[in-house]
Amino acid sequence: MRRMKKIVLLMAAAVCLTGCGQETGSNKAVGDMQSNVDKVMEEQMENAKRTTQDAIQNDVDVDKAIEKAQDGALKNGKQENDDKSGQSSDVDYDLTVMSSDMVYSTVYQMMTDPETYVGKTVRMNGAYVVNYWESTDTYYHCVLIKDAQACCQQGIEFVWGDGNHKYPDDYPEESAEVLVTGTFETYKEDGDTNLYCRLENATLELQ
Amino acid sequence: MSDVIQQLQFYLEYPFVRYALIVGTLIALCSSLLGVTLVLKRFSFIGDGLSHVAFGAMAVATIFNMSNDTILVMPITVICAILLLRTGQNTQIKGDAAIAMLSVSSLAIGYLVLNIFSTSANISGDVCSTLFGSTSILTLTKADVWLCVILSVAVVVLFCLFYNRIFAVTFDENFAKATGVKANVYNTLIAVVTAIIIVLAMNLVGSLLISALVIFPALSAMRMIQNFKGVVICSAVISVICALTGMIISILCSTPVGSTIVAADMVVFFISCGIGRLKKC
Repeated sequence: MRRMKKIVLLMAAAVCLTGCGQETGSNKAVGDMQSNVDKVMEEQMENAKRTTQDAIQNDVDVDKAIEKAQDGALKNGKQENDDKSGQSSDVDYDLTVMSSDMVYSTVYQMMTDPETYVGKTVRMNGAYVVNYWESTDTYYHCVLIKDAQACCQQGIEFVWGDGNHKYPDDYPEESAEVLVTGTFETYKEDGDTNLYCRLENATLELQ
Repeated sequence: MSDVIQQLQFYLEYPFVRYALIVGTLIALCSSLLGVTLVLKRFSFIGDGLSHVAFGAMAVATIFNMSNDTILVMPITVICAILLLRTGQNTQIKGDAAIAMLSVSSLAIGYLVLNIFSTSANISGDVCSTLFGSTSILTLTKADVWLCVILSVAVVVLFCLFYNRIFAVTFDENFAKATGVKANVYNTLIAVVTAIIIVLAMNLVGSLLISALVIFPALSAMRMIQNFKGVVICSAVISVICALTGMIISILCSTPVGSTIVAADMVVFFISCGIGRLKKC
């Protein structure tokens, strides 16, 4: 093994030595190469100048286009999200930019420690699910998320707007992918001591 | 890369992520310390056996709707650990057979009980999560974190205080007894500490993968270092680095936490095998 190491070292040294050897070609060949290089460089510089002039003109057009787009976005009520950390300025917990492990864990924390999240704005996407309870004669609309292995699921109930939307006419089909943004709150049903969580005043968008 | 760092910084703002990293690091540290002793005593699979016992106890606690299953799981696991480890070398049913017996029985009874007396709408999901520890470490409460911290600190302190005696009992129990060391007491201590760590580690990697957390760091260290103290320190460093790496990768890439940590342990094991061979040459 020591011999192998010596051989490898010798070969490496040989490669390094030959690789760093001086050029001994003819001066004419070197001169030709230099003039060719100069020609190529000049051509490239001319091309670059032309490209720069075109780019300046394009920049003016692009600036105008950006101004128009921004005006349009503001009119539609959407805001550009430049925050690379994933949190929009109007949403406290944006689950749409998190990994599935984090989404599952955050929803779990909301269920087990709801006081921390009451009053916060939450945005999440998942499968739309609806349940009807006879005891309350109410349809409960939920958005369902799964963990990374897809064997465990959790969901949060939401109330679309002021709750006046009619099911099934206004709502999407079950299992449709939806985006829900709402304010987290807790509540109790009449005659029930359990504490429930939901997103109130929510917006609902199909994905 | 900067996006990844920013994403990680964003996730670290969440307290449950910080809890997961703290608890995961402490569990990895404690399991690596005990792992060296267990591997040398030929009890590598004790983690698997005890974790299955803990699973069975957890199943019983679930059907009784106990709010904190640790009250039942910890004592049962400790008792089984004592039965398995305290008997030492002079026992009728040897270590591997005893572990196998307890392990499969507990797993089977636990799953049977959960199915017959089901209290959950998604038994398979709950069992899968308990066995593989997909996101359990990210669902810890502050109370869970404090319990883990206290127990982990106790384990590390005990190991440091009784290091010489644990060393003696690990390498030659009969000689230790002959020189006046109370081997039975220290075997019991190792058993109790092992049980505690197993119950804590179920939150990190799940029941089925606990053995990896115990075995891999010790074996990786043994490939590179030939003295007990060095192996223990190296094992602790490897275990902590792999646990942190595994948790961070799983959070960023949406992979199950337990499996990712074990994959990191495996990679380090292969690297340490390579380093060990180079050193021999």
